Amino acid sequence: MKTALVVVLAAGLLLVSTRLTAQSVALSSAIPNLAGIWHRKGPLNGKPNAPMAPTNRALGYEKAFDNPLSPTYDCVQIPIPAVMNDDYDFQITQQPDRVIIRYEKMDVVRTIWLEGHGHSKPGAYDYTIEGHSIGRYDGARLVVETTKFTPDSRGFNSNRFIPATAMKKVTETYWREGDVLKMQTVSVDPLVLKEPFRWDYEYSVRKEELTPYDCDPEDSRFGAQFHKSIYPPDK
Amino acid sequence: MRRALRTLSAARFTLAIVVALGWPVEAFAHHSTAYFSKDLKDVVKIEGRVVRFEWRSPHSELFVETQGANGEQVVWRFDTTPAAWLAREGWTKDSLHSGDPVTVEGFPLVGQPYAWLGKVTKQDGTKLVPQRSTGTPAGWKP
Repeated sequence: MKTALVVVLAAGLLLVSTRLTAQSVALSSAIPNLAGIWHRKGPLNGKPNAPMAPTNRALGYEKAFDNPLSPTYDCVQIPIPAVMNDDYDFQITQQPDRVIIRYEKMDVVRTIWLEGHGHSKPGAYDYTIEGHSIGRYDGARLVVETTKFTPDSRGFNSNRFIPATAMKKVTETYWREGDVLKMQTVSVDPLVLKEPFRWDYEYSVRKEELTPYDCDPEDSRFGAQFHKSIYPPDK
Repeated sequence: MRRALRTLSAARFTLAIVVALGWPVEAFAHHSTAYFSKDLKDVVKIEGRVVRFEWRSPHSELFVETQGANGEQVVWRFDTTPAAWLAREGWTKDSLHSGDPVTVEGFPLVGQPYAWLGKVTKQDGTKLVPQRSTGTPAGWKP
């Protein structure tokens, strides 16, 4: 009797185990393969991105901003989507519960926490330059929503000083079409953008490793001393 | 006056196309190169030896020792594009070594031994040219 019970239990465990394995395989095969090193190819489907539409208060901030004040001179990394719209490449690594994106620009590394894995949520004070990113696979696409950004003078573009507030939200979507990675980004920040800022781009496979950015604050700030201030000198 | 206006309109038109196409020519506005001369009359040509070559970002840097007008030793600093951009043009971190004899052309901050790099010619004739950027004068042909 005991032997029969053990056999039944073992068979049951085997059945459950087989089903779990099959489910895992089914899940992993449903996940799009976005992994690789990606090289900037051009705007998505060849369609140029529309310019940003800043509010008057954001334009006023930009006009008053004196270039040497930029934290970029001190190797302070820039936030998304500015990281993506400068002329550098990036690498995507997919893990079961997260996606890692490493950028050539300023050696930025982001972790995208995938839903359904019990990751903790950020606390009230948990603001960071790259924000808190939560991702999910929606069919063949990876959708990422990022909030909790530290306010930054270089909020949306590394070449402008349109500031971002802590209310900035960026939604990214990634998918593959053959050997091309496609990306859509939509940034909203009601106090500084009159309408969502879209930055859509596509990327080709890159075989070479990313080049380290290797910023040195002293060298990086060297040239700023020669930049004329837009303000009169202090007495 | 009319000619000046035509030039301005052409410049605006070019800028509009550049912005519309999202070309990377805007890059570096965040790291201004505005203080380097864009006048081709100011281009400097320095013959000397490499002191050091810094393969980094946002600017790679080349330091070259040469002889000044009064026979004194002067070290010129040439800033150029980030390492990732140089790599696209075929440069590596070993493209230049301390002691290499070189001829370097660049666009100076007038009055200072400091310039934006235009071209490096090595003793064997090898030419190293960085990607064009906001530091490069419009009419420059390496």
